Amino acid sequence: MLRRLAPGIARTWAPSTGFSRPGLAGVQFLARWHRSVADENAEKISFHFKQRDGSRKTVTVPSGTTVLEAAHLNQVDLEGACEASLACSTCHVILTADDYKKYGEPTEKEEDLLDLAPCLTPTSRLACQVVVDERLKDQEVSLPAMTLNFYVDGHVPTPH
Amino acid sequence: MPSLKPARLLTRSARDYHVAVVGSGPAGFYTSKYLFKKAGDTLKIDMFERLPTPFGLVRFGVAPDHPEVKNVINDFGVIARMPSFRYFGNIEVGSQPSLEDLRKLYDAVVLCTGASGERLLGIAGEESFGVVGAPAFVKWYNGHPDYQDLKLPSTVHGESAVVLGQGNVALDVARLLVRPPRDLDATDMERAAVNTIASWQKSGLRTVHIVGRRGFVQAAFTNAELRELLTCSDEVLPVVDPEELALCRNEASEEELSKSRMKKRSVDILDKMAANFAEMGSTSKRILRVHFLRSPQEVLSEDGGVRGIRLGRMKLQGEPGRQVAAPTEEAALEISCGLVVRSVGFDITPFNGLPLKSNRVPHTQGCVETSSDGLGGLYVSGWLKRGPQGIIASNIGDAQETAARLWNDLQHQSAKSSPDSFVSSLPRPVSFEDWKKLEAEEHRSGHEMGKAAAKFTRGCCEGVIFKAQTEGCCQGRIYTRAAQSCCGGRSLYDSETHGCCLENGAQVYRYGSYNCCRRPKGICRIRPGKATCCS
Repeated sequence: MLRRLAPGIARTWAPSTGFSRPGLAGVQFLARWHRSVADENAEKISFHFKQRDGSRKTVTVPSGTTVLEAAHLNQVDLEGACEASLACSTCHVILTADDYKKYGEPTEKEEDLLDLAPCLTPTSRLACQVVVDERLKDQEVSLPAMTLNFYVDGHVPTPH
Repeated sequence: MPSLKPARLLTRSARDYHVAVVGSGPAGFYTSKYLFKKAGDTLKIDMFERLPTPFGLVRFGVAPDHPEVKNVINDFGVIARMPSFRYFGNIEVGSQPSLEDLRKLYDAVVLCTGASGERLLGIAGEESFGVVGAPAFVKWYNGHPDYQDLKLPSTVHGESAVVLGQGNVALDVARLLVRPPRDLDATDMERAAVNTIASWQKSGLRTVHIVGRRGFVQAAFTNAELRELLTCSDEVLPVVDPEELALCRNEASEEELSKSRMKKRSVDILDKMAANFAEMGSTSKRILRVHFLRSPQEVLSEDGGVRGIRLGRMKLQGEPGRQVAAPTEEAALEISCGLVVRSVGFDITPFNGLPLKSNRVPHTQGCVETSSDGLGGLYVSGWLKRGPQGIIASNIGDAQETAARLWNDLQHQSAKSSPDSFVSSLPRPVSFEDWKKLEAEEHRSGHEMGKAAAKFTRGCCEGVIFKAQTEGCCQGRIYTRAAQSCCGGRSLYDSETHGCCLENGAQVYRYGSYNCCRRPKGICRIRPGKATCCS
């Protein structure tokens, strides 16, 4: 059974979960479900992801992008299984205490989902619900150590 | 992206590894995703799925009124479209090809076949007509081809149904039994199921009881689903007896409660349901009544059909975090009802050729057997590996573990040659492109009917559609299950007069004249005067 190679034409959408496969020109495309980003004149905001291995990744996105979209646009390893529809908790991130206060309390629906996120903290949020703007400028957003009660990322299993 | 592996490039031939993934639900797709993350372009994955359609319980388990939960299939679609990935639907691994066949051809095989068995309660009357398991009931209303023939009562005696269990599946079932059918029909819920529920409601189904043997602090439901009972429809009134709610708050439960954010937040929701309790007698709405500390003792039946259920009063016993339900001497509650849905969990269905120990597949980090003697390694992922609990996202960490272990193991093997000639001999598999066409048709025909989608509920036999519950497909020929069977996926035979022997390939033999033996392996002709030809 011959595999037809995908033509090198850039796809109109990229994987929705931070798994990067740059198009032909190495340009990253927005995922199909990403909302259209704020206009070009929107201020560019830089903030930092603290990743699971402890490293820091600085990203710059237009104001109005969500933290989850920012992660996907920059190959930060954050799942978004339900595509920002408030039906899962895979995009769980941890804000600083100050930022959490700035953004105010999550909705009841988001809180219901946060109930299920492992490594939950008092300043946890779902990244798909946090909009990047000047509040987040130069701030740090941390990824929790565990992806749902099971596996610590970075762990290398040793065969028996 | 993948790190460089100079050792491999220098010492091995540049052959790609080929991995077979069996099962196309979240376990199969997440495992594939994380394997690709590890391996990049050096790995090829072939996925095999028994049904024509992919996605497993995402398609057949998620409630039809929760469409956003199914968005994850778009992520899976990205994996499916990767050039190093191939999907083969309508191929049943275990019969044809066998697990051993795959292990001979592939560098590794990952089983992600889940758990479709029913757990029973073991109480008298459980076999009565009108008692069904949630695994079957959910698949019935979700259009699973194997369950469209589920026999259910035409009216619900006592105007009540009882759901046993208090996980999110139990809440799904209860909610769908009382939601207005016009709401249900707008979803991709099977129309025949919507009509059945509509006729039940029309003929009087008014109350659905959701019964759990322990208290609310121990119940498995989560807040979003619990809250939804309050908000799903203004034709529905969820209630709980405030006295029963108070019974749930024994000392040990209070301690558990103080440590659980989720359970603390659930108190508010349950208090609202308790406030509704006073309206129960006078309301015209359909009622969802949640019971705690009640356990089924016996299903009461008449002429083999369910007429009611007796529920004993339980009390909580034990240390916080380990409390169990213990019976009391208090009076039991008898509920008159015509439908009982048992929602107490799934059970592992043994996979042909897979070891099981105390109902679990023994494995280490997802590895069942490492590769040896020309057989690729055997791995498991998902419910088959962890047991049948958790949500879609629970498979993420699980799949990462199996993928990491598998990829690690592959570094110690040289890659076999490509399984392409085997793959090209598969009998008309359904490709992912075929599935996308089918999906488009499901949406199109659904929209014509005012539905989100109308699912394809039949089987596909080399391009011809057949009714999966009464017919089978035997190498391209459709046959009626009542009269015939298919031996080894190849030979049709009359199951009244013949048998199928699989000891030495697939051999059809006539009862009475031949035997099927372990020794000698295969069929042998019975000599005149002898009882058997097996040694």
